[in-house]
Parts: sequence; C-alpha cells; structure tokens
Amino acid sequence: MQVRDYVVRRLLRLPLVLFAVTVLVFGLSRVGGSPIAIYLEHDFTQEQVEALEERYGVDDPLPVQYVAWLGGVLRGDLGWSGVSVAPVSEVLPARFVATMELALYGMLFAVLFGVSLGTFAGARRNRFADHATRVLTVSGASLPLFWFALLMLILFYVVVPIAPVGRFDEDVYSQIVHFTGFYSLDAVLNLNGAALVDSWRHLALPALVLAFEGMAVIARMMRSSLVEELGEDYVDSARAKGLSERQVIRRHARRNALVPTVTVIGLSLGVLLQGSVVVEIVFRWPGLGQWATDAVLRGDRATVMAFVLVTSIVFLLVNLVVDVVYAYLDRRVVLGT
Amino acid sequence: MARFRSERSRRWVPALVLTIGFLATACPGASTPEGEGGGAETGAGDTGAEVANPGVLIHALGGEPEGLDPARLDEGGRGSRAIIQSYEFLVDIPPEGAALVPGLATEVPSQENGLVSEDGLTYTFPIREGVVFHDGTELTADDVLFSWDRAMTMDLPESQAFKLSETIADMRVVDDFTFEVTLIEPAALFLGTVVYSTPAAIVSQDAVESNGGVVAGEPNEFMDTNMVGTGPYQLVEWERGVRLEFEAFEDYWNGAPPLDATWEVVRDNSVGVLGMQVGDYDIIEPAPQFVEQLQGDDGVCFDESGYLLEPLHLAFNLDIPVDELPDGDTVPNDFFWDKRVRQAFNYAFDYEGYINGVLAGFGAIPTYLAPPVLGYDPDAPKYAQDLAEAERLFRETGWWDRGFTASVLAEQNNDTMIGVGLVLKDSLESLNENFRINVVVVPEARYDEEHGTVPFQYPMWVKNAEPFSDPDQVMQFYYHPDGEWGEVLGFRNGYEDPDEIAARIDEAGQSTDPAEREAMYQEILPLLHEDPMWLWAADEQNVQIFQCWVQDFIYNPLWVMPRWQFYSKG
Repeated sequence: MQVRDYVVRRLLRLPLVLFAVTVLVFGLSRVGGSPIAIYLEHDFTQEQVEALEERYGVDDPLPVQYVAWLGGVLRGDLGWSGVSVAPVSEVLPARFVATMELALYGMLFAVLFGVSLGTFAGARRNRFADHATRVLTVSGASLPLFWFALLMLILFYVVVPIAPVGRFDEDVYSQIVHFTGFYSLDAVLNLNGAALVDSWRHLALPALVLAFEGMAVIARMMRSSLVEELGEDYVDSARAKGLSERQVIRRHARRNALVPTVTVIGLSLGVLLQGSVVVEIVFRWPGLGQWATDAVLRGDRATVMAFVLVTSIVFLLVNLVVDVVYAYLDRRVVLGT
Repeated sequence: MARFRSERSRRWVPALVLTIGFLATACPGASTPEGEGGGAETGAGDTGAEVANPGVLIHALGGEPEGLDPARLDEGGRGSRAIIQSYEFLVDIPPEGAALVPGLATEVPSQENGLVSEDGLTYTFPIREGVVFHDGTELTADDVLFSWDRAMTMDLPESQAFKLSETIADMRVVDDFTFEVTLIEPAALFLGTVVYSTPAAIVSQDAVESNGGVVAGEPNEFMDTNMVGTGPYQLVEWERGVRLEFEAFEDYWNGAPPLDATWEVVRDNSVGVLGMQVGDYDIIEPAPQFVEQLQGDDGVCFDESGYLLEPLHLAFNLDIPVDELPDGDTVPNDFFWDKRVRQAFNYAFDYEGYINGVLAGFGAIPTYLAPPVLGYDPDAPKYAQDLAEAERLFRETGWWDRGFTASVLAEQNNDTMIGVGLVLKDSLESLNENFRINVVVVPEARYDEEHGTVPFQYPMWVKNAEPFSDPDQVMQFYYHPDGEWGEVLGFRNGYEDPDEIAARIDEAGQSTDPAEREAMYQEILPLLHEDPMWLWAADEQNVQIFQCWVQDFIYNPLWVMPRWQFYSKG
C-alpha cells in the first residue's frame, strides 16, 4: 500500500477512534469521586450540593451528560475550568501550544543528542567513550527529574544567571503578532530577532532538562541497535567492498539501527509530556502539564477531560507519523497489514 | 581509524553549535523577572544593590485566585487575598491592632457616636463622598445596597453570603451617602465579621449590570474574572497560571499607592526561594521548612511578628461510624467520648518536636485564640507533652492494655498537615507498642470530599483552621456543641456539660461590650482546655520574607496577606 493511501485510510479511521476516546474519557471522568469535587466544601448541605450539580449539569443521566459534553466539544465548548477560572476552550490553546513548543524542542534535543550519542557509543563499543556515554545516559534515565531540574535552575538561574524562568519577557513578547502561539515560530514569522532570542533564552534550559531522560533512552536504544547491526553479515560485506567505517555506519548500519529507535522516539513523546509536568512547575512554564496536575489534584473534571482528550489526539497523530517513518526507514514494513 | 574519529568528532559540531548558541542567547542579565523587561541589576546578598524592578512590587504566591467575585468566594482562599487589594469594605482593619477603622464609611458605627441604635439593631453608615470605582463611576449608598443585596440574591453555595443573610433583617438607602442596616438580633461581631467580610465588599453596580447583572443561584462570569471596586489596585491582566498584574489606581480616594503590583504564581517553594535570591521577587511566603535557606542572606529581611490565624489541629470524631472506618481501625464509636482519652492524646503529642521539626521553629503551642484576636490570652492554659500523664490517663480508661488502631486523614502535598499526623503517630506508638496510628494521605479533591462526608469516616483528621478574626466565629465553628463541627463530630457526646458550653459561647457572642466579651472568652478557655475537643498542634508563624529594599513593610495577620498599598521600594 502506498504511504499516501495508508495515511488517508488512517485519517479516515481517526473519527471512529476519537469517538471511542471520548467515551473512554467521559466514562473515566465519572469513576470515583464527585464530578464537581472542585466546587464542594465540607459544610455544604444536600440542597447546596444539588444546586451545584444542576448548575454544572451533572444531575442528568450519564448518557444525557455525555451527549451534552460531546455536543459542547464539537462546538468548541469544553466546559468551565475551575482551576483557571475561565472557559477551558479559552485556556487550552495557549497551554497546549506552550507545552507542545517545549516538548518539540525537548524532542529535538533528545533525538539530536540521543541518536548522536548512541551512534558515537555504538561505534566505540567497550571503549572509554562508550563507558563515558553509558554513565551519562544511565544518569539521564535514573536521576529524579524534579531534583535534576532544580539543580539546573540553581546552576543557571542563581549561580551563573543566564537562564530566566517563565516563557517570555513580556516587553519583547508583546511586540510581535502571535500567528501560531509558538513563540519561536512567531518570532521568525515576524522577522523579529529579539523575540527569537528571547524565546530561545527561555526555552533552552527547560527543553534541555526535559530532553535529558528521553535522550538517555534513545541513546541506549540506538547504541544497542547499532552494535547489533554492526555484527550483521551485510556490514561485513560492506567492509569487504572497501567502504570506510564511517561510510559503513552512515550508509548501512545507522539506517537499520534507526528502525527500533524510531519506535522509542515515538514513545518518548509520552515521557516528555509526563516530564513536562515537573519541568513546567519548576521553570514556571504555563503549559498543559502544570494545568492538568492542578486539575487532577483539585478534582476539576472539565479540565482533566479536555487534557486527556487533547493528549489522546496528539498521541494518535504521533503514532501515525511513527508508523509512516518506520515504513520509510524499513522497506520490509508493509503498511496497512 | 584516526581519520574516522576525527570525522565523527566533526559530526558533533552542529549539535554543539546549536546548543551553545541556544544557551548563549540566555545572556547574563536574563535573571530579571520575565514579564518585567530588563529591570535594574540586582545582587543577591548585596544590601547596597540597586533596586530591581523599581515601580512594581512583585509578590510570589503559591497559586492563583479561585475566582475574583466577592459574592462567590470563600474566606481565607487566594481569591480573598486578591479582594483586599482591589475591593473595599465600609470598615477596615488598620496596619496594627484589631480595632476597626473607617473604610468606605467615614465613621465606624457605635452607640457612642450615635450610629448604632440603643437596641443594638440599627447601624447607620455615612458613606464617603468623592470615591470612584475602577470603571470611573462614583460610589453612592446605592452601590452599597446593591453589593450586599447582590450577594444575598445570588446566594451561591460556595460563597459566604449567609453571613449577610443570617444577620440582616433590612437594608435601606437613606440618601445618596447614608446607608442603614437593621439586624435580626444584636450581634457583637457584625462589624468585624460581616461588614468586613468578603461578600460585603463593595462592587460597582454599573459594572455588574452591564455585564450579566444579578441572577439568583448563578455565578457572574464577568465578576469571576474581573475586579471593579474602589480599592487601591486595579486588575490589569490575569495571565492564567503565570501572574496577575495590578496597576496603582490613580483616582484612589486615599491617594494612589506608590507602586504597581504583580502577583507571580510560583507553585514550588524552592523556586520562590531561588527567585528571592536573585532578586526577582520582592515578597514571598514559603512553607516554614524553606525559610532557613534565606536566613543570613544579605538584602533579605524577615517579618515573623504575626501568626497565621489558622492553627494546625487534629479533630477527634465523637461520632465514629464503626462500619465505615478504614480497614484495620479498631476504635469503637465512643472512643473519644471519655475526655480522658482526648486529654491523653493532647498530653502525648510532641509539640516541641513538631514545631522545631516540621515548622522549623516557626510556631508556638496554641492558646485557642491566636493573637491579635479578641480574648487572646498568652497565659491561657495549654497542653505540653507529658508522657507520664498521658500514660496515666490511658491506663485509667483501659486503653493502655487493650491498645487500639486509629487512622488520621491528611491532605497530600501539605507537609505541615501530614506532619501533625506523623508526629502523633510517633508520639503514641513510642509510648505504647499496642497503639497504632495510620496516617492516610489523599489528594486535595478526595480530602475535601471525605472531610465533608457526614458522618465523617475516620476517627481523626488534620487540617489548618479557618482564618477567623472574631472569637465568636472560632467558638461557634470549633467549640459550640451545636456549631458547624460540633454537630458533625458529635461534641454533645463528649462535653461533660454541653449546655453550659453552648450558653457561655452564645452569651459572649451577643455581648456588644468588647471588654466584657474578652473577659467572657477568657473564662471559657479553661473549660475548653479541661474538656478538649481538638488537639491544637501549633500556631504557625506567618513568616513574610521580603527584599530589604521594600520600605515601610508592615503586616497585620488579620489581613490574611500583605496589603501592597502600604509599601514602597527604595
């Protein structure tokens, strides 16, 4: 099957999957605890609780509530965010974009360093460089993110004050038109160098911290895949043809080693989004993670449902991209089977 | 192979360049607060440092308001902290002391000045002339009537409007600048706890009517997210999850404050401390465990004079639903009925350990009413750890030999509250190996839900008290056998003479003579000590940490949070 046909078929199937996701999201949101927990106080009378349930439409039968919620979602009305004191649909886009920008930069760093380090270590198996890389990657996979983030903040915010916290400097941020909400991209679209620098200044440290764990996992996978590939017969053939070691790795082994690594890269988006909760709190990054954590702890179901819905959609799309890239890298993979 | 290594090394170059370039953009000086633009250089630890961000007071707080509408907010939450910066009341609390001063009324009504009728039922408020709201409209008595009536008409469950509706029989506008209120019955606490309370904040009638009006039982979205009062600060922008920006109100009747103000949302205590060290924030209020990290830093000043009016406490459930208890709990329904058991718990608790450990020394053993609440008596009886006495009481009641297992409900992410449970566990389990305390820690939403479940399904819970400024509120809420918690926790099952306690509390609440009230409360305190319904673990000191360049710092615990209008920088 052609990649294009496969993508179209997957996209056509997407609404069905999304429908299942909405049922799941709504169903889970009604499991355990009151759906209006965020508004309840210990001293409410039964009448007061019922008044609140009526206000937020949670006194209807579940199917009616689901249809009302789904209708709202389709109209772009995701309910009221108790933790943000605003409609979810007003807060969500800015939060989503902030997290995605951080996650994409984190992903960029994780892939860039992970693949490079993994290749570097794999090509030098059991030598000092390999061991040194192992120390780095094991640290990345095992250091508590919260501790590591604070350590970096102390280093680069207090001791060597080069990294500010937050997402932007208001004075610079307000000078540009925000076409997409992605600060660095908008800075480029506005041809505003100061804004681009400002966006990078604020992104650098949280993105690197966020990337650390993902980088470690990708590097470990890349290294072991490369080591395996370098022992294959086709690699010996390539060497026998007289190709240099560099050419052997670049033209043959690395491409094949990337196949399992791409799967890990796709999965690492989950790690990044998970890590973004901690990174967003420490670096005061106004993203989805911080928002959703607040919502979960305080029982704000409308916000939690919106968060789960959006992240589910992102994962579905990322999985699609991973499958396509997978097929591109490994011609033996037959799409659509 | 050497050639290979050299080429491989070069392949690191793009990554390194990108990273170095990325970090290089984070040039020195970047540590000025995001959102405030450049700002002056600061020097952590440099008392002579140039003031950072002149013209704006940056206050880092651990979260953001849960709303901004006085008619919807609970007392003591972060929303009410914003209220006192932008809204005003007819009376006010001054920087020092608890005696009320005029606010939007030009006089505090009293029988001496003739503004309270002889029967104590009618209060007349002369309204200040020349006061304007943030929307430019002028304050009149109609706005006062509208504001109070609005809160009572909306009557939202989450609000404190009942304070008005349960006290007021009638209200009327006498003329443009005279407002009159008639009470249902004389109430000593009317001015301090009703007139000066969140739902009694005065809002602009024009602003409300132009933005959704008043609908019974329905919140007003505009007022939830905007502030149109007469206070010294105007809300300019609320960037969700990041900050609220306030501008000094130029037309403020008492003179515009010297500084604009920013409420920075800083959820992590460590980040707040670091921000203080680099000069990004002017004021922070970290948890006690973090205070010592700044002690000794030049340029950082401390105000430790006040206490949070929210003593940390442990509740005894005198109406234990045995069948609903957590697995393993062995205590019977009447476990806490015997006052000797409650006394034994009070004697067993390691107060010093809790205060010096969990609160890092920033606390004191409570005396039931915290300073500067009326009736506060530093010499009032209070418990101290006395293990011999605890053992004697447990032996007398038979529990020493029988032993017990009991759970304490505590809220996640709140070390001070969890600490109360853990110190109790340590105190009791080290006293007798047959005693077992399980501290059940649950997320905030679940805690709120379980804490509000009637009957309460644990033998004990830990919490910080509501921040009450009048002793009657404390007494009604925490001690009255038929009060808020008295009913839920079954105090009538435990008090030796519940009717006497009830009568004394009611009598003190109805008296209009402060001196008489004070004496009455001081007589009640020993009774409450002898027949304890709570274990008061500590009064937590309210440690305000501020840059020494913040001038004229003053803080009255009754405010709930610092009022920015009094401060300047220089």
